[in-house]
Amino acid sequence: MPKPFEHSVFINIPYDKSYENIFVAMVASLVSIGKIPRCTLEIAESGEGRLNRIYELLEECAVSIHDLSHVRTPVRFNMPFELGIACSLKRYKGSHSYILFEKVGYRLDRTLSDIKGRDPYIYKGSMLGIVNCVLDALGSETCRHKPSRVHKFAQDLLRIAKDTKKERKIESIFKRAVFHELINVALTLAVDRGFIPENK
Amino acid sequence: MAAKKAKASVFKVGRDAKTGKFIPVKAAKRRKSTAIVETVRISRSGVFKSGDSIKTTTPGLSASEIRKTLKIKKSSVVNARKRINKVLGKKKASVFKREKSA
Repeated sequence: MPKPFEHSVFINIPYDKSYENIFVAMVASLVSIGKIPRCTLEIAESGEGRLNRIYELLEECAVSIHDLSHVRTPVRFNMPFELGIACSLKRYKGSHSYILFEKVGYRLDRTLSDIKGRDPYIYKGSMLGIVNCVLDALGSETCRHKPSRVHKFAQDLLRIAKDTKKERKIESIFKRAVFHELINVALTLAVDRGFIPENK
Repeated sequence: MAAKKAKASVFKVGRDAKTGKFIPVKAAKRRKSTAIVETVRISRSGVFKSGDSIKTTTPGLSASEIRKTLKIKKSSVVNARKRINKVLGKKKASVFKREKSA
């Protein structure tokens, strides 16, 4: 029986056009190691409140990845806020872990000094950096994919995501429907390239 | 620098408490109130690791298990395949299949 909880990873990144490649690289890296990418894009406006669903979604994930590199205007507080929820889950439930990502080394010491002592993974703004960091942080001991292969997979996935965006005539890929399609394509590609099996 | 000299994947480094920059372990041990000695692990890919150890020995899920969790219909695989062929072309997909079998 599949255990979705221990394989679910919550992605907390800014939904900004400049982060599209980072998001796709994260999805590709997670799918390549058999993890389930989850994010707030899954949440439909259902009237029960977005915050409740964010809590529920975080509770359904064993790990969350928080990208805290968006420190420019327009100011977004969503990422630190969701990190706060993850911290409280870890503190009071103990069943959650979180990983911090940053583009620039030592910057987090200034922007979020409360979390000093936890070194973030530095990806230097590149897709390959994200792939390296995700594989290093979450890769299983039994599966060792070459980062260059996963990077190629992520680049192809980005091309497909851009095509989807163009076809749907939308501004960014951070839409619910696009997210589901992206995951579906990523799974199909990952099976084709031998990263994960179709069935066990 | 201690970080450059060490060959093992787990080793000690000194860090300045104010700036966070790496300093020799000897100096960090001497300056107890303004520096700390940390244990650092470096993986093969050269990425620094700290905090929680999240690596597991359990293998990841299969594609069908992930689809089941995210409630993605299996019939939508056909659409995904169409899009992959449209953007990447059938030729490219076959190259990777050959790579996989090799």
